[in-house]
Amino acid sequence: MRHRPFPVLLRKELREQARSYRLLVLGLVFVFFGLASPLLAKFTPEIVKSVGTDQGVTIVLPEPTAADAVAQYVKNVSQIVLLVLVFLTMGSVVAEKERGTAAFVLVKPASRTAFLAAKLATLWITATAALVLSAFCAYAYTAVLFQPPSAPAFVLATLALLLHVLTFVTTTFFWSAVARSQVVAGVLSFLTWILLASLSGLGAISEFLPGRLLTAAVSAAAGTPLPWEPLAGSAAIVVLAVAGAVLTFRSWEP
Amino acid sequence: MDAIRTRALVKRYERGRVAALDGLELRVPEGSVFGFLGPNGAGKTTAIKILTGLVEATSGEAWVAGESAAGSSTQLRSQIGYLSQDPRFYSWMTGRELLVFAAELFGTGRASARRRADEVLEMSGLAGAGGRRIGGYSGGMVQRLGIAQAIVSNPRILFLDEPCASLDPLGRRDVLEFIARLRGNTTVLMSTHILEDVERVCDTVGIIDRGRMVATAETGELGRRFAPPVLELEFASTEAATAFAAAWPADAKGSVEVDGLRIKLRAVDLPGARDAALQAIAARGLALVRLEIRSASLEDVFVRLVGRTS
Repeated sequence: MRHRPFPVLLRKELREQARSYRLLVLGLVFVFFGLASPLLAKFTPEIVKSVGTDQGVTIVLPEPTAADAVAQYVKNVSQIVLLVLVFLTMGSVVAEKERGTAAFVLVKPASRTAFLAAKLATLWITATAALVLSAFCAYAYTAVLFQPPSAPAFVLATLALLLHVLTFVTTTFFWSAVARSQVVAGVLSFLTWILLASLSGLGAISEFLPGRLLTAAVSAAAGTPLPWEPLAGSAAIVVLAVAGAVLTFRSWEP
Repeated sequence: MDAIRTRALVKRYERGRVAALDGLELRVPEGSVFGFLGPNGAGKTTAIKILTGLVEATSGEAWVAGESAAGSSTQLRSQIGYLSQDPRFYSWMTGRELLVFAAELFGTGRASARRRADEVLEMSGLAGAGGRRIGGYSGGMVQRLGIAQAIVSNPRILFLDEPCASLDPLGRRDVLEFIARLRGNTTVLMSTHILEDVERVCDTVGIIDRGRMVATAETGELGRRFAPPVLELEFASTEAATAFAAAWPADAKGSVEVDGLRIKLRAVDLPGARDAALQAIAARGLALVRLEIRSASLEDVFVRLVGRTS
């Protein structure tokens, strides 16, 4: 029988996520913003209006819609939720290198690629599960507060948002495999995030960047098809980050 | 047949400026318990890391169980067990969970892995603590767990880097007895700087210094080959010992080493030196408590070869 260490490593990773409460924290954060986003979209204009009235200023704002709720949801996930996700991801590989537990595993008949693959798969599974849960909450609450958005369009928007989240999870994972400390991995992850965001003003290139997926997600919820450019660009970043992590980690010495 | 062999093994760090291994030649016979002895920083851990596939050598060759250690093949790693110098495990796991996980990484099925985990917990004296989180283990318990995980796969070759570190005397005795029982079935390479441990369990010893093997021999033979017997004299007072040392002629009769009440005499003609010493003691009326011709200990060999105490 051929020896397959990947399922053993994957089980260990998933169990670690559960035991360390990372799964719980992530689930709560995603659900919170899934529920809070439509609520913010609904009541922000009223709050702004009341502030204006208090100061003797009349502020006229359009009536919020389900599209505003979706836009608010996309914005929250792409900022605060992603920030939490990067914090929870940045130690995935480097923490094991620092603690010495990576050497314990790597001296067993498990390849370094399998070690990384189990970690990345766990991060993707966790992020996907949390986002799906959050999207379900956001959809349901938007339906309650406004009107139900088109389900297929909302699924498409969620897919674009998911690809955006997974792209940043993967670049953080890359830095975690490359860096020598969690702090360095975290700083480099945020710098990558900032760099990609700052490139969004660069004409044609910006069409291929993961940031474009966010506007594409909001448009998709309104029925516009997803453009291929950010999908291809984000997929390329993911492939490069995974390949870079595998190649670098192969020559890591404990 | 050699279970472990290296040829001109070199490992350099800091862009080649620091040589951790400098042409290491090592041969470990199959089924033996090999004591890998050397002062701190001699290159023992680096050599073990190369042999276990964790680190790549800068140059030279290494074979373990007939497999090249270069490239760190899973085939090689499926035949070895390894206890690192400072073992670290997942603190959130229980001892039993860690051993099941380790056994499964070797391709053992879940039920067999659980059985084997219980066996090695029993063998390592951790049966009662198997259900507790590793985060709550003492240093000695972690060390025992380290040995348990190293043998969970019934390895052909076992690498133990300072296996008795952080163990109390009883734990140390248990571990050394356990290692001795492996002789003949499993090849053990045990690195240490505790000479007593080597004398107790190892049948072959290799002494490494500054990345090179300076001596390899059977434990009993090492003294005969590398350090001749010594004449030990113990006096009733330090004054007597000092007076004797001052009177001893610094010529072909041999060298003198004073250590409080004791004196060690090294000479080519030891019986002749003994007779001369007795005459000198009688002539000066010095109070002698003990006189003994003693075979060189491993410590004598070690100090002589390495040139400094560990």
